[in-house]
Amino acid sequence: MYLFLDAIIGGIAIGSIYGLIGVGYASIFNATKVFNLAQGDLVMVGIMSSYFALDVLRWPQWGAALAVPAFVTLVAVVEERVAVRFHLKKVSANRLGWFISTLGFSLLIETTVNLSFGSHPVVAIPSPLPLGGFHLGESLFGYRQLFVVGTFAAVIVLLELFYARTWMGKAMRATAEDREAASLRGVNPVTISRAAFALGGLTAGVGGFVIAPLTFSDPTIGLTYTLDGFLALAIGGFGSIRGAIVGGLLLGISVQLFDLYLGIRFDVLGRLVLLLLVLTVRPEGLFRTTVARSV
Amino acid sequence: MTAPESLVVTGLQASYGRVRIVEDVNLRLDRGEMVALVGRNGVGKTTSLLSIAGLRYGPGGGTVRVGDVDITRATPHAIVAAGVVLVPEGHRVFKELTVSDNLKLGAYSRRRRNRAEIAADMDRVTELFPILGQFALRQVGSLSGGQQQMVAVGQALMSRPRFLLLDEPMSGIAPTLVDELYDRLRQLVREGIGIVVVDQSIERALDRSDRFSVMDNGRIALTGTSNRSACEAANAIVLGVR
Amino acid sequence: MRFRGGLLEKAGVVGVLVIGVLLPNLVGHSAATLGKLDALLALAILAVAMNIVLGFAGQLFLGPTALFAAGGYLAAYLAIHYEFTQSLVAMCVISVSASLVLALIIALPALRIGGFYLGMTTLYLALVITTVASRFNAFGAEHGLSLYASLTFEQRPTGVALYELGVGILALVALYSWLIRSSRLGRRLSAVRASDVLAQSVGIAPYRTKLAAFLLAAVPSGIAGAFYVYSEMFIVPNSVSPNQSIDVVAGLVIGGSGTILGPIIGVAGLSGADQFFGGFEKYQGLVYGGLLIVVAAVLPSGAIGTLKEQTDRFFARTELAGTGLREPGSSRPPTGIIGGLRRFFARSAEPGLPAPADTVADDLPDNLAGERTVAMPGGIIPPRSDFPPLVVHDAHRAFGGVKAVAGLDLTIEPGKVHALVGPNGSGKTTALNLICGYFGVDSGEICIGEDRLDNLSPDRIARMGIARTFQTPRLLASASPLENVVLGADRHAKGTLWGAVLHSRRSWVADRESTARALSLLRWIGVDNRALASAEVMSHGTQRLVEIARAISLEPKYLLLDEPAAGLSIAEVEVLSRVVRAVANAGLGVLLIEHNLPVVFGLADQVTVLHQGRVIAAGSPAEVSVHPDVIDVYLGHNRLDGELPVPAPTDSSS
Repeated sequence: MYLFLDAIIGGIAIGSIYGLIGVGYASIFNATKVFNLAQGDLVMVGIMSSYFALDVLRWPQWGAALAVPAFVTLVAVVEERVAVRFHLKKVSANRLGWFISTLGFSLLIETTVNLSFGSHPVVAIPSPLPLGGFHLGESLFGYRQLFVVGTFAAVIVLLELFYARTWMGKAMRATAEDREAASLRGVNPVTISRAAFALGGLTAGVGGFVIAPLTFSDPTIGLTYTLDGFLALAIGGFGSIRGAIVGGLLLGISVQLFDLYLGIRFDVLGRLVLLLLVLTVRPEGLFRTTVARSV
Repeated sequence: MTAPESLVVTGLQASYGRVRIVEDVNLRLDRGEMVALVGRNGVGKTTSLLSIAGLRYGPGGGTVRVGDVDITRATPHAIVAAGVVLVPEGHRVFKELTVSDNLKLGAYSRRRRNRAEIAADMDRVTELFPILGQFALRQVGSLSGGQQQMVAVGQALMSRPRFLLLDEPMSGIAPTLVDELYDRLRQLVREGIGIVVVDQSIERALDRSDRFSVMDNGRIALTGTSNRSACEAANAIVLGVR
Repeated sequence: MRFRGGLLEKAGVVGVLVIGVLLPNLVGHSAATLGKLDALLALAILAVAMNIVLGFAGQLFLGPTALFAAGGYLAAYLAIHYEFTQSLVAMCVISVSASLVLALIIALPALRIGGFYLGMTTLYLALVITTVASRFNAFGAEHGLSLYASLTFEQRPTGVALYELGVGILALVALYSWLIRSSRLGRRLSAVRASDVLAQSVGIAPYRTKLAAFLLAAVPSGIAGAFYVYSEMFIVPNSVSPNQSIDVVAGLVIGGSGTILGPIIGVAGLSGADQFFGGFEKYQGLVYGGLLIVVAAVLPSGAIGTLKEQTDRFFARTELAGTGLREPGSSRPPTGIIGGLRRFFARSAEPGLPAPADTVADDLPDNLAGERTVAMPGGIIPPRSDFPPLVVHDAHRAFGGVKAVAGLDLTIEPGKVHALVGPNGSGKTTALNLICGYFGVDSGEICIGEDRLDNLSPDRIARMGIARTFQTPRLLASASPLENVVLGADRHAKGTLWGAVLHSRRSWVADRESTARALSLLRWIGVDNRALASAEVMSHGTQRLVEIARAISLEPKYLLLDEPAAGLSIAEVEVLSRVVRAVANAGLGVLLIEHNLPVVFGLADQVTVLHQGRVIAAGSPAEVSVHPDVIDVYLGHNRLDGELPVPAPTDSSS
């Protein structure tokens, strides 16, 4: 039984990671209807720059905590300018357009990181928190995992407040629904898409920073994160933060349960089956606002 | 002393893709007056207004100025910043947001200014449309067509524009409310706003406006002061009777 | 993507294949070099296969290596353990089977969603295959499978002969791809690529068509996998990773999706640079990534695709490479054997009814250029009779809180023109969409005789004989008017789809018939001279007429036109009116949605007026035009000159 509980707890922790990635997607998708294929790579940049800041430059934790999200936000803003803005201006939605473009940008990120760090060893990254945690019965709540969960919760709350209370948040939601009507009300669509990507980058950077101590400085992890983030949103539903939350947590827990009961060899298959199941039964995800439908 | 500025449209041309819809439209709107724009369906009224507001769907031409500022090629949000605000036809409101959020977004271009002012404006809108106050936290998508139209008009009122362009604002709104709405628009005119109204009902439009223009085949066929006899002439053109 | 393969592209493919055959002479015969070349070949075959889904059908399939890997791994596994599976042929068979099964498993759920969901799901599939392969010892885990493990395995052919065989396979797969693209199936794929809505309006079922594309692509993907394993003698997870998948797609897109040559050049160029210029590998991602961004923005058809478009424009087009036919010259009468054959086939294209005096054949308007058009035996529009009216009964439809259609009753009688009018936002287009199946009714019925329409898919309804046009013409942008109209004419082509792909005699005849029908329709409607220009440069009026021609070519029972007169010049409206009249005279039921009242009242036998989703009047034009509610709606409260303009009754068979 305690193994099951462990799986749930671990699942929440991993789920928070997926959720953080998913929330980054959702922020961008909400405002621009673009699914940013480079999102996982942005998280990877967050992890690698944490590694660089903490292990190589030996900055203090608080310094990295500020610098890393800022840097990743910058990369995301560059991506918007270089790979995305052109396609948003087009009136007709060319499916392949932004998809291929963000795919291309992800390749750029990956290669650049590889060139910069390829020769560095893959190591663990120091954390502001010690190893260990506190026990509940037989189960262990690691401090570092809790940090991730806590950060995730904080990010969610801030995002919800942002969308509900601020001008920019409302303008984003309006733009997502009807870009033209929003511009007629004075909303600058370019500002919105840039802000959406900045938000996506910020979440990716924060996510990367808190995930870093839990993983290694592996520059090839980007694609896996991208796919996991997609999976989280497919389950939870695109177009809402709530979807990212629920999807992330459900995915995290499922993954841990697959690991537990199916063993490490089948867990990937389990995820695929889950995805196919979701697509067959409820393709719009659990919380539907927009449905990613074929034309 | 500077002359009060006007919205001046000269030789406007506009297309929808490859179709040239607006051939040659000339319009002058001064602050403090209401102009009715009438004409058959499909004759180019909506396309003209969209083009003035910055939404272009094909090659165009002509000039649009606000005072000294040329806004012909400006982006829609820049045009809003210049004080020209369009309420497009067909209740294009944000259906996934609440009524309250929709109204607030109407004031987006003024968001940096006085919050109390914006709140006061919200109160005035809900005074005019009490049902919006009742439904403040409802998603707009769940409202009826007429109610959604009220939200659209409310958004326009929130923007405190210098020039207001309304494309069939009355569609779906009950007749008594239409009268009140026109009263409110007239009050805005007294306060110095210039308004263009497109209305399906020629008589109503001419009754309440100061001047009028009739569009036919992408051009202005007739323009003048709004009065009874003008009504007949306008009708004749709209019906295609020569 | 263009239909026209063109002589140039074929020459290009042949040229590349010839270079391919000669390559070992240029770069060396060593085992290592041949190994790299073999791998390149496998990837090129995979790319050409993938193009069927990605380029022709326009579906985002990002996991080609998944099919490649599934097939390759299974083939390798069986080859190591069972002697009878060790030949290349056997491995191909196994690989193709695995590939097909996997494609089915993924396609069935994922294709319904489409869009980037499909892309991500297929990419995920690639990841799954790789991960599974790397975790199971049966599949060699991290080290993969090596055919050297089998003592009995013998690579035969080998060396350069094997490579040349590979080039041969690539040639066959290219031919396979070309056969598909230039057939009726290829035209369906391009319709689906353009838009599901367009495809449905001509009776094409998008889901089934996409599925067919998937399965068709899975076959050569499997072959590619088998060839790879056979020639490399091993397969490791890394060679089939999602990253590899992305590289193949990148090569495909950059080279040019939608062409035959593009994927080959793209993959060969990029992967080749990879394999043969050692230091390049590190920077490969920068080149791929940068090129992808540029291509997505500036050259969506890729390098070869853009080249093709430019050369197509440069050379005068006289060949319809889709069917290999020549367009019957408008100025040259048919002569000789070919001419005789054409005449013979043209006659057999019509149902062979005698031409009654008052059918369209005698009633042809001059086309816009003033040329007398040629009458075809049996009539441009085959006369129809004996089918029941289309009845809409008490239909309701709401969107959110807005009632778009409330209690609509409407009957479209065969042989009559029924106009549906009303101000903007009155629900006219929604009504049309309800009839055609793009939206479902909340309540109410739509039937033709005994058959209910209101639950059916749009393509099913189109196949039942209901053709429609759209407010903004939906055409294949880079295809000619002829290619657009043929989409409709294809509906009644004889022979099976598979026969079409194999370019059987029957399908060849069917294509000729469809082409002839489409051309005669175009000529009749007045779009003759421009039969080969592309749709996107045509004027709006011409686009409209082409769309109507396409609808008519479906040989429907009912023709539903959504605001056809919008944006047309006076002359074009005249032609439109004559077309509508001719169609009705041929026995079809016509529903005309318009707000141009003079046009409507001149043409219509019956009029229904909508206002805010409700019917406020219905009857003959004369009755409706004096109806007080209608006048109210159109003129406001003004009843001064309380009449709407109805032209004096004229001979309505203009």
